[in-house]
Amino acid sequence: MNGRILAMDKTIHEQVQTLLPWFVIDKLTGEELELVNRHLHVCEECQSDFTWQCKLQATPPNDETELNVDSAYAKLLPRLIPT
Amino acid sequence: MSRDEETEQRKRMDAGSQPAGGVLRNIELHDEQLIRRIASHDLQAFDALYRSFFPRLKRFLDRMTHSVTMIEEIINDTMLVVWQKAGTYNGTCKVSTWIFSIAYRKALQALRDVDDPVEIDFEQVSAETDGQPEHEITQRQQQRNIGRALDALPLEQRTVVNLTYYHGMGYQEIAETMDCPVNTVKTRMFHARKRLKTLLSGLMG
Repeated sequence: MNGRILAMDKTIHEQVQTLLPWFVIDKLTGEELELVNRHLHVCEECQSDFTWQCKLQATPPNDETELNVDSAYAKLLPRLIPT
Repeated sequence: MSRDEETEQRKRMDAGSQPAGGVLRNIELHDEQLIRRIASHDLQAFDALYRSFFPRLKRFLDRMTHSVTMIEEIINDTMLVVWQKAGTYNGTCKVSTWIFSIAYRKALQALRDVDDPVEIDFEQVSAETDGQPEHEITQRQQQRNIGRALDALPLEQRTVVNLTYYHGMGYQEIAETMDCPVNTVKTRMFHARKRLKTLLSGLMG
């Protein structure tokens, strides 16, 4: 019995681990959202992972290239010939 | 939503943050209206859509190619398809998903044509903070470290991470953008997170 419960918890944990990135960006709804919310209350590993992912999301990497929208658009304009 | 509010929301999206659901839906509706007008070769509508998507596509492609020339070409090739094929957009996915999927395909094509893979120096990920206590790592350094760690991921994994955290896409939208099953998206994300944790260990709390 305990073994079955543990196996079930493990399955839920794995499901939540898979869904966490989209929980972080608020893209889950319905049963998936409920599942993650419930599990987060009882799982320290997922809580810590959630915090880590929030930091990752809040720190978008720098843009490394400089591009000007006007000059790029000017290059495209001559190609916009109605078909 | 007023014009000013919409402009403000778009600026936030350009910077990588996601607006609330209702606002997002307004922007999607506006994009759909623009696409309908572009289908009738309305250049003013195209101009608006181009300027609205340019910063987002630039950020997306920056992580894929790191080449100014390539990014500009891919954006213009993508938007040319939008101009020519707007009439075929059938509304089964968001306009943004449609445009990003075109950009993704164009980028893959462009990268295949380049016989010069970008080498990533994994050591630099940790070298950025050598001898520096964690609390002194600035936001800018952190962003650079994350950028380098992302660059160390295989392209498909990097794209899933990029589209999720920095473009706010759900797994279904990413699957449509990358033309792959949802489970593949989830698996790529799983492996990407594992690798990122290793690469960024000690650099992020």
